[in-house]
This record gives sequence, structure tokens and C-alpha cells, in this order.
Amino acid sequence: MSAGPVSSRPVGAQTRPLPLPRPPLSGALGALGFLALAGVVATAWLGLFVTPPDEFMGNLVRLLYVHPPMAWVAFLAFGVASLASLLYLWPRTRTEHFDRLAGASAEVGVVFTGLTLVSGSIWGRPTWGAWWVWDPLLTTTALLFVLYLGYLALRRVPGDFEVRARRSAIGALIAFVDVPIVYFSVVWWRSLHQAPTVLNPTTRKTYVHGSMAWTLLLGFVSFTLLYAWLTAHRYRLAKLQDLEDTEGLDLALRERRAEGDAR
Amino acid sequence: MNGYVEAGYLVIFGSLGTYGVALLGRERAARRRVLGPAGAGSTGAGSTSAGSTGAGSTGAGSTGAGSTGAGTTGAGSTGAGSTGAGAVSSAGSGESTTQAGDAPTTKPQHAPLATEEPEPAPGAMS
Repeated sequence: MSAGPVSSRPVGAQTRPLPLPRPPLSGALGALGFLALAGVVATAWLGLFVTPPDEFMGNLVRLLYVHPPMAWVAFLAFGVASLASLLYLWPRTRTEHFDRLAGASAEVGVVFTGLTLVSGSIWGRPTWGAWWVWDPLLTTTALLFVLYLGYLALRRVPGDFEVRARRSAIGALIAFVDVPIVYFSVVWWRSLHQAPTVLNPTTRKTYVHGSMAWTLLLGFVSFTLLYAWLTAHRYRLAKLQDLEDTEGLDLALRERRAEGDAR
Repeated sequence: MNGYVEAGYLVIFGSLGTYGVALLGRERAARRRVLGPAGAGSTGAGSTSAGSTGAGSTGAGSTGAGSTGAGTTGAGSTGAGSTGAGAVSSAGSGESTTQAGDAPTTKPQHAPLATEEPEPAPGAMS
């Protein structure tokens, strides 16, 4: 055996360092990230330094410019994950893109749910006198967090892609049942947690006004943009990981063939 | 103001910032691994121990395009080092990446395997 290595490139040729190819929509994603960052910084600045203290809560109200937007983003993320899962399960729209989108959105949703729980706990300690109470809203939110953690774990169970994607999609749909329960828990049960302030489903009134309302609105918009940016990047990472897995499989097959040829 | 408010903002923005930066880092690392040499030379991160990793291995890519970032001899030198061990080498096609949190790996990309001794590259150390 004397032939030189089979290569598509001349042996010894120096590979000039090339810049990483720009993935599609990088410019738009960069702009989205900039807008999200600017919005989040502006929300923090307005919330911490510009808006007045609340009549009852004092300065603690400043935490509420970020706590409800994060809860909203968590709901949005799980909604997108469920919709994508539904589209994956529907035979006519079944593509791996929807599976990836569901996984990406759910992961970002889990991050935001965790931060919602933490920020609520930090707000609850001086307000209620306890870091945690087994209130219906808190309990169902913690359940939501655990359910989607389970969903992410389910996605990592090894197996055939089709089987894994299908059972993950079903898991996402089951977990989503908890989202409306979380939202309406303050209406359905006697709860320590306050009822919705922005759009109260019972009274159909808004209980926040002026600079507080605008800051809160900016928080909702900024965190939504941040969600979109994070999800887009998580989606691209998932796509690259899938490519890597495929290449790893191809490589293993080539190795086995080469071993067989050598014998 | 209130210690709870500052702590809350710190936890929230610190966590989101950490998650975002980690996500970008993982994406860059994954792109570099998948795209191979095109992405490997763009930083100096992957310029370590390409030859030694591949020596004695089969098809593990015992040469490192990733090691050429600093203008070193790259493929030829590490290929020569691996021949003594009878390694199956994919000369010039390997990528060495050393990312934070990852074990150093050497992985061939986009090049068929060869089962022969690699030809020494011009200017290679022997």
C-alpha cells in the first residue's frame, strides 16, 4: 500500500484562514439583538431611575417592570413550542425545522420561567414575608417549569429522530395544558398573588397608568424581542448540532468501510 | 432604594446575559466544528496539540488545519509525526478545536479518509 492520501486538497497545501461564513439573516438577527438590548437597557433605566415609587409597594414596584414581561415571554415561548410541535405532528407540515423550533423555544421559555420564579421570590420576601408560598399561581408556575424541564430531558433521550421528535412534540402539547391554568389560577382560586394588573379578565380594567404603564409596555416589547433573538440563535445552534451528528455518522460509516477494505 | 430591587435586577440581567453569551459561544464553536478548516483558522483557539492527538488513531484526523493559525507548518509536520504509529491519517483535513468547556478534540472534516502514509508536505519538519 503506497498510494498517497486521497484528498480533495493538495497535501501540504496551507489552508489560508478563512472567515466564518455568515449564516443567513445574520444582519437582521444582529439588528434584532441590538434592538432587544437597547430596549432591555431602557426598561431597566426607566424602571430603576425614572418611574416613581408605588403608593403601596414603594420601590419594590420596580421589580414588576421586568417580572410580568418575563412571565409573558415564558407563556409565549411555550405557545410557540406547542404550535411548532403541532405543526410537526401534522403530516402535511412535518419538517425537522418545527421540531428544532419547538426545542429552541422551549429552552428559552424554561430560562424565562426560572427567572420569573426567582424574581417573584425576591419580590415576595419583603412583600409577603416569605421567599416561597404554596400559592396556586406559584405552584402551577413551578409545575410548568418542571414540566418543560422534563420536555427538554425527553428531547435528549437517544433514539431514532422521527420517534424522538414525535414523542417530544406530544410531550410539549401535554405540558402546555398547564399554561392557561397558570394564567387563570389567580381568577379561579383564592390567591395571595395579585390578579392581572394590565388586563384584568374579570373587571376588564387596567390598573397601571402613566410612566409606569409605558415602562411596563416597553418591558413587554423588549423582552419579546430578546426572546426572538435568543430563540433564533438557539435554533441555529440546534441546526449545527444536527449537522454535526449527521457528519459524525457519515464519518463512522466511512471508517468502517475503510477498515473493511483494509482487511 | 431597596436591596431586593437591585438584587432582582442583578439576578435577572446577569442570568440573561450569561445565557445569551453562552449561547453565542456554543453556536460559534459548533459552526467551527461543522465547517471545519474554513472556521478553524479564524481564531487561535484551535492551535494546540493536533499532531499528538491524532497519533496512533485511525481516521481521527491527525493533522491540524487548526494549527496553521499562527503560520506554522500544519499538515505536513503533524502528518509525518503520525506515520510512525501507523496512523490512518486524513492529512490536511483535520480540525483541532479547544473551546472553553470542551475537551480538546481533533476531528476530520469534509475529506475522505486515506489508509496510507501521508505524503510529507513541502517544508514539513521530519
